[in-house]
Amino acid sequence: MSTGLPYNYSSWVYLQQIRHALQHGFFRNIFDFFKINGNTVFSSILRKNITIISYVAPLLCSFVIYPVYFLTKNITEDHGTSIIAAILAAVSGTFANQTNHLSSESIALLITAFIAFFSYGAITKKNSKKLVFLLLSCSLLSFFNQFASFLVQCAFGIIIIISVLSKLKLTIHTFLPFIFMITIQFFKILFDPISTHLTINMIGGSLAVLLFFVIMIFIFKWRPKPKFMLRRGVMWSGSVTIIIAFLITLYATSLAPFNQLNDVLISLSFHLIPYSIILVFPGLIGGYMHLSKTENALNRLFTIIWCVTPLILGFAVFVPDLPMLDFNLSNYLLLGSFPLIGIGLSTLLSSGEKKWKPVKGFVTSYFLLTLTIMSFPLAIQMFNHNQFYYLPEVNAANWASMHIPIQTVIDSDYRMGVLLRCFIEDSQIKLGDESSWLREVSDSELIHPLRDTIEYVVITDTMLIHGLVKQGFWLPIPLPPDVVEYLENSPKIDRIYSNGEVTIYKVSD
Amino acid sequence: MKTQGSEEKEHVIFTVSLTFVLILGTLFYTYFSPRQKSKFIEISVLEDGKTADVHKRLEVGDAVTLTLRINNKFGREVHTFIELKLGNETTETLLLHNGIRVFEGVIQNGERTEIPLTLIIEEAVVEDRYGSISEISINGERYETEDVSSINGTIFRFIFSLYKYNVDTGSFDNPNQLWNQIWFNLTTT
Repeated sequence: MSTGLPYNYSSWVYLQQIRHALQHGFFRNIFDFFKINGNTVFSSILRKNITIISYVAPLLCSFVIYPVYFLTKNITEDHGTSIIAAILAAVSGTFANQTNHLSSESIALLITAFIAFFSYGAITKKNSKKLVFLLLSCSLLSFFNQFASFLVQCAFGIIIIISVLSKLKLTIHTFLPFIFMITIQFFKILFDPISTHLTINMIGGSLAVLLFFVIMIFIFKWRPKPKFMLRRGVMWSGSVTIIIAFLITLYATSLAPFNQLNDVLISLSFHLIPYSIILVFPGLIGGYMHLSKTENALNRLFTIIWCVTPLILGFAVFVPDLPMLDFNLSNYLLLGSFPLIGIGLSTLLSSGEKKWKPVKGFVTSYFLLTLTIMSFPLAIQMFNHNQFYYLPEVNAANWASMHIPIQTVIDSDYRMGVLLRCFIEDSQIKLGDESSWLREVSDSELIHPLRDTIEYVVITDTMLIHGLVKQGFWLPIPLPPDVVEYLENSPKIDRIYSNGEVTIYKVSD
Repeated sequence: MKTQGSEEKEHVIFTVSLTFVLILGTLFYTYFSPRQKSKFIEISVLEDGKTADVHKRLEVGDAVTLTLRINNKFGREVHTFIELKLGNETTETLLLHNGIRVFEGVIQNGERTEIPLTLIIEEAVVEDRYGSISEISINGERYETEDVSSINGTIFRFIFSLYKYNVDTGSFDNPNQLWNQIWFNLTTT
């Protein structure tokens, strides 16, 4: 709420589904159940109680610190380390930010955190009670978020591979969660193939397999020597951190369109580089210490599996089309990393002479304060901020639903169009695709006369500042100011609504 | 050599000062972080509760009934006024204080105000490729206009601009481009 952006378009996109489901009746046959996912139910409640839920959802999502605490406690058996991990989950970057607003991804992240915790008890400790809770959480996640459920399936698959490679005794506790998830996935693909569609790129998939084997060989074969463990750990982690920070900077800068370079540089300086120092560095030290101390293969690799899976999935699904820095991926990566970061920070704080402890305390508190501040950035500095709605935009969509007649053609971009579709029934709303006039003038940068079929045009400030959003991504250049000039000086087009953020134009016959 | 007691005291001072710095820092940040675009005022033009659909050919003496709707979501009461300006195709839409004030008042936070307007072009000259309006009536009251002439043809527009009192500058302004317009083609019988 501190950013003023409690809404995310994935929370709204399913409203149409629930509307149709309500109109045509739920569950005409038993298989329709697989077509109704958690988002639709969630969104139907959301539509009517938006204010209440915009406060309740962050509270609910903030419970993510509990599974992080208990997972770390189970792995390290140390209360102090677990507290550090939980605090970091509460204040760290996009992770804290994600659990501070309302979206299906936020709920999915919370459920995945519980799955990670239950799966540790169920798979490594063979605890049957936790297995039941694990299966319940898995079924809930399957109906909530396709990407997260795919990630969990991969993690369970990797656990089985590691168990086989380590010649561990395979039990029902190891197999059942994977089989359970695959079965649900099979039914979902059978009855709702569109929403379960996840394309794996050939190059990305090959890179992912390669990455998986490199990481596995590295982890299986590499055993840090106990002698000078901390000093070597610090040197090794420091070098890797610098390389990672450099690669992230290089990659993010290459992603930025020229006109948004300043925004990205701000994001970099406030987010990525400090993350490398505050999170990656202790995380690597924690990983180093954890690998050198723990002997059981599954215990040793459990948190690392939850870090490796998002990386591999990132390569498999998103290379080369989407930015790897997608906040969903980084959040799942952080989820697996918190126990290791906790171990790393705890080790750094407890090592050395007593006289240095106040200095370490001050440095740590400074880092934590910086981290807290970075976690709630200005809207413009947030990654994927195009997915969020401003309150004036939600209000404009509501106004349009009350005053624009049905069966009209409305032109907008994907971002605003999704919102308008949620509010306005029986109208054709263009989503900034090839049939959209706005898209046409944005692409060509030349003003063409408005097409006869279009009756309303909805322009937002974000289109003029950043550009149109096309299926979740900014087009590289802002909407030319000539477009607004054309709309405002054409005698056939009335300007009928404005709130400073959104302007609605009506085209006359 | 420090005793255990003095060391504990040092730790307490350190912890308290650290907590104080953290709380102060968080409060400072929260207070100075701008709330992004969550406060706004909306203005719309309606006709019978729907989007305005003014007859595009308006005759001299014909009445047009419109409703201006203002919705205050600014988080506090705002002192506003709305100006109506008659314009042609090149009129600057946001020139301050040269229109006819059709509403002035304080709107409470969360309040929705509707301003019904009956507009009649009372006196005008309309020729083949030229038009000029010299008098308009708003809700029965007549106003002389600044002899608005169209450039090419007889196309005009009603422009409604909303101005808000700015406490910081002590004057009315319209920083968020809150204005709407309805075009019409003036004709005579």
